[in-house]
Amino acid sequence: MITTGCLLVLMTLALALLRAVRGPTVYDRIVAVNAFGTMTVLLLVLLGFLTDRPEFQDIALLYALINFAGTIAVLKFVKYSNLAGPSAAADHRPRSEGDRIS
Amino acid sequence: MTLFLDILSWACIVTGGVFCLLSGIGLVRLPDVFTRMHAASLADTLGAGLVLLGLVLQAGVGADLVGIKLILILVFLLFTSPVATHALAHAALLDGLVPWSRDGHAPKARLASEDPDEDGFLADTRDDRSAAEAETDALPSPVGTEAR
Repeated sequence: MITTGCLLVLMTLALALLRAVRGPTVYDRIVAVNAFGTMTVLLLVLLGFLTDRPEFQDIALLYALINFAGTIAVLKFVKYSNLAGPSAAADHRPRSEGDRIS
Repeated sequence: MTLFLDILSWACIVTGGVFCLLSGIGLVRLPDVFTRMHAASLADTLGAGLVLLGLVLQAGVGADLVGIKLILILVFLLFTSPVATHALAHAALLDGLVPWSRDGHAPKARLASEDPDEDGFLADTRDDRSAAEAETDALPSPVGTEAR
């Protein structure tokens, strides 16, 4: 029965990857990557039960944390072209004006 | 009793997996970022919730920490996925994406994003953006942090 759950989660992973490749806007890709991360957490937990390795739950817990932080970080980078925020971008501009993306 | 728990856990895992698959189908087939967000949140709540509940029924909340870790994962997902979805929708609206509607007209009801006075974060962001753009126009002046 855990194998059935694994297969369903794997199909969802493939669909989310399809959306991440095809997505017209960058927000589509971020939604798809976020869903992909959630499905990865579920797949890790299911695999931990399938192969009888309880340490996979620790990895899944850590992955859930990293997934959230990564989504917020990518959003902030898309919004400001800089992980430090808008005013820090203004501080960096006189030195590296050619490096700015937008 | 064990058989009953097994059947219950089997039903939970398979139902959760089916919800995950539905969310993936919605992620591919729905027309718009916001509707796709709606589909993705299905996997975050019902899919993950049912799968993890089924696994908790398998493991039991016993002496080893397996069940407690599963519950921790579930609680953490339930807290973080609405925050991430809200940040995503906010960023997409702020970027000027118009929500899809069946007749092609944008819906009349918007978020507070159209009125910067009622949304302090939006007002701050717009001030920062306009300050940054003004600075880009006038590159040689290094001062420009009055938006903060």
